Amino acid sequence: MMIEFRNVDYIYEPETPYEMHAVKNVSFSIEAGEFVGLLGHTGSGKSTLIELFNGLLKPSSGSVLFHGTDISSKEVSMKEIRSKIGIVFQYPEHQLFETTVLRDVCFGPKNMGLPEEEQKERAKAALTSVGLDESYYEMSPFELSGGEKRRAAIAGVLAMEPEALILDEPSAGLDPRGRDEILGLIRKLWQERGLTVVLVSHSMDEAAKYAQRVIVMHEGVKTFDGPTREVFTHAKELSEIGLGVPSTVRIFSMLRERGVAFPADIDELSIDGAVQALLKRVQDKEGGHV
Amino acid sequence: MALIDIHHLFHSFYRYNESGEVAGTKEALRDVTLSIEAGTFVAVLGHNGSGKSTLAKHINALFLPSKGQVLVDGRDTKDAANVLLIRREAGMVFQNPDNQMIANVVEEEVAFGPENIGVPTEEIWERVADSLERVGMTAYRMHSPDRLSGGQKQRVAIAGIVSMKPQCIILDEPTAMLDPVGRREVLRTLHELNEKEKITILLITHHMDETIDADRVIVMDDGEVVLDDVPREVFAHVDELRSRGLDVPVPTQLAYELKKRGLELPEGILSEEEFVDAYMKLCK
Repeated sequence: MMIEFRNVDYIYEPETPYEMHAVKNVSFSIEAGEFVGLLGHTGSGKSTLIELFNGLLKPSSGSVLFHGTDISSKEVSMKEIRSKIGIVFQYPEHQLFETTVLRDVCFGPKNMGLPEEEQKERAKAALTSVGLDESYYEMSPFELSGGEKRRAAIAGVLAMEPEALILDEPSAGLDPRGRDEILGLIRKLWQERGLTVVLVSHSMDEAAKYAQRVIVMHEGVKTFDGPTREVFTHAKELSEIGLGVPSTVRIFSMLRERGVAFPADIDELSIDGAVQALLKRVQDKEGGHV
Repeated sequence: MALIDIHHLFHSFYRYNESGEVAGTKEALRDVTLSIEAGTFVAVLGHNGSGKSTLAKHINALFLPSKGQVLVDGRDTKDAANVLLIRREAGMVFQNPDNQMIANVVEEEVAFGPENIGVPTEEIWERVADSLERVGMTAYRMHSPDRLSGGQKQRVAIAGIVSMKPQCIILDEPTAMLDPVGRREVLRTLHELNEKEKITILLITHHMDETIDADRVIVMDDGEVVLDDVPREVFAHVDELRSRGLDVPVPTQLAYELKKRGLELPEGILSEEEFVDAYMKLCK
């Protein structure tokens, strides 16, 4: 078990008029190498969960464990936890501050106390893995395009060589091309390096396309947790909590309601899968198999 | 006469070197000619860098043509005497709601516009009440804007424009930073303002699903208008839209892929319901 939440509660400003119970008795565990989608609309408690992941917030009650150790305990070095569990916040490019891209990416390793040579080595490797080559090293971060800035910011976290990467809406504000690039990059890092990925999003389409497993938060409570395909069978409940399901799933559920049968094992989550299933259904009928 | 008339508009951005000489030029708009009739709901679709935001800023006289002409309600944006009138007629809402809020209380936020254009105090309060009503934010009149959700903030920003009684509202990616609930709230508000108040809406976006209910969709790429038609016609160009870095609605995409593989489906499917109806006919 890599990361485990045990009965975690978080209350903002307890015992004041502003008291807010943001996370309520949440438990789950994430294995090394999983790709998890953490879903919920604004105010569902997902942003609070992110900050609990690496000890930026400490649970009001319950505990967060990393490889079996409670990260709130005194023996644990927060610095180490935060380099092992990397968080990429929303609009991470707002945090770029150095004079050159390379120096910016070196900031994390530098803070870890690594020698200068290793800082640079790691920074260069991280930049390569996000697709920014040498020509970017000496550029000012502010000369980059929106998508490039975001990749540079992700490199800044990767340079710490984390075991897990938590990303808060990494595609927010990007156009379709930029969105596909960034999410494709995250998938590549997950596949090639065995990184554990938690993708925080309010887009069901993104979760459907990339995550193996989905955790759904609603009003501070964990409402669903399971394989992506299984969670999306709860179309009605999901739309009641303001999330909805991918368009393809809705189409299949409308067709089934109108009496068109499909096998249970079709891939309803992707366009390709949907096209295959829809095509086969009509061809079978024409061939007289129905 | 059209409300907005754009003739052969060009816009160039210049990059200067340290000694102030032009080091590079980027043509953000190239020979754009468009006219937009009063009362229509127009969506402008394009990826980042396609020129759609630059175009929006021309209609509000925030940018002036490098070449060509922009007329808003017959007034040339190049004439400095027209600028304030144009901005009153064509109000603008930007992407980040937090960058637009200046007051401590919602009603003051909405009153800022009419106060600036010299509306008498009593009428200001009438307009504030009326505008908040139209965007469904009356209950929040005395709230602090920073405690509102993103969608609510954008509706307050829209009320701030509505209170100046414009003919046209231009919105530059107003939903880019919002969650699905906030996006729906903003879209519904815009359609209501268009239908009930006959305000012309120009919605700049890269979310194709926000454009399906528009009267007209203009697709921009590389500074040029590449498609300009009703949504049904525009989204029939599945391959072209994708090659320009844009999405098409999922039902449209499904119908397109199935047609390519020989199924007989009609052209121009946009909604899930339309797709299901058409597919059911094949199953009969």
